[in-house]
Amino acid sequence: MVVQYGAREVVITTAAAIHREKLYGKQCRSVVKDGTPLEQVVLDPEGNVFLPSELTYLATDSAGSLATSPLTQTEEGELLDLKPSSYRVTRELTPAGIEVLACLRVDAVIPVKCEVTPGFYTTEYAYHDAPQLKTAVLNVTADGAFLLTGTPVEAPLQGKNDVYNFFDDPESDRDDSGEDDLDDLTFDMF
Amino acid sequence: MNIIHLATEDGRNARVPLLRPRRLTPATVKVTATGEEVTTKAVHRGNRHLDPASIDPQSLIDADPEIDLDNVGRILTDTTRAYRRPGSHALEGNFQVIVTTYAADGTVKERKPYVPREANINDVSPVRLGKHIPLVELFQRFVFHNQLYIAHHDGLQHEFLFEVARSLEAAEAAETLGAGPRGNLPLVLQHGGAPTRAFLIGSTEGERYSLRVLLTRQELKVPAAAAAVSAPD
Repeated sequence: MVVQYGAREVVITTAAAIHREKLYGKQCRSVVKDGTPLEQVVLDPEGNVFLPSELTYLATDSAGSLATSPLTQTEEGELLDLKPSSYRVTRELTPAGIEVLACLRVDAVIPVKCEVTPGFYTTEYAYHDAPQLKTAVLNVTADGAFLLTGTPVEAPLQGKNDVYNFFDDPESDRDDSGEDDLDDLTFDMF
Repeated sequence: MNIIHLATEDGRNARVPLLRPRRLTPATVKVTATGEEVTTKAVHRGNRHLDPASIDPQSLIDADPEIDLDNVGRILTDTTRAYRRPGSHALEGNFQVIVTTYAADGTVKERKPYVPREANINDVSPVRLGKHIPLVELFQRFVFHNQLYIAHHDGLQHEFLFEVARSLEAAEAAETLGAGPRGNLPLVLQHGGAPTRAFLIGSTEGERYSLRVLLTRQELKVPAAAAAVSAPD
């Protein structure tokens, strides 16, 4: 893919994303009884049993009709257009502080080759055309470079009173000096 | 909301809330052209030996497969996972779950019965702050797939956490978080959860602080054989 870094275009050559199991292996669960491996099946409420390979998963509307080309919209109802893949358009690459990476929930690690000086850079990324672009951080070191893509999350600052507002039931903010509460208030212990 | 029992090197400790930060990108849903929300449903495909994506006329003629007319197109809801012996119709209970561990090269390393791990972040032994690691080095060595943030319940906890955040900010470093009696075990956030390594980073602004727990299960490195991939069509 090609990115615009200042006045020049930089070519970033991406390789396959690195998955954990390629580095460390993986764990799988299986079910056995008396030493015999069991096969997993799907049981419906009527008692019918199906193999997972008998089922397919389809996008449908509430009536069960096939939704052939579903659109994407925000929860507020705004429809999102498809944005082109990063391999079809040139997006901007800018130097980034460590905070951008510190606020990124990374979902893919892509080793890359590119001609930029070591440091952190940020851009937007989509492998395929997608309604939402991911935030990507290009992490370049002397030993190599990686494109880390993911979702940014907030870094909330906690003031002295913030958490009370956050956890307390809004009802508890009401004025408690009303007549109804006076009967419960006793000073006998004094 | 989780609670983490956190202890600093000087022996101070507190049980404080551990929360999930909000995404900065808006959440989305899939809809039809008329604005109706789309859901994914399990549908019976008619014949488990036929793959609609790769089917061709000659294979249909040669194999002469039958369609399961009783079930084809049926939408399955409220299903349950069950187990049976291959070839048998009777479902089995009282089975054992086995965990098989594979090495990166695909060889089997270990097989053992599955025992869910207990959460260890709010235990008698607190989660301890450990080694410092400079922030730049931290992000050049590890991949953080998730993060949480620490908050406070009261003013005393605020003072404690503010001091932790300020010391981390001054050092421009993160600190390792370790569970267990010696504070060297990975964190298990919930019952049955996967062990994960964690680092604490902090910053302050006025009297406000931010303490984030960065969770990692992967180092930033390339496996022995990384295959090149071409751009999508």
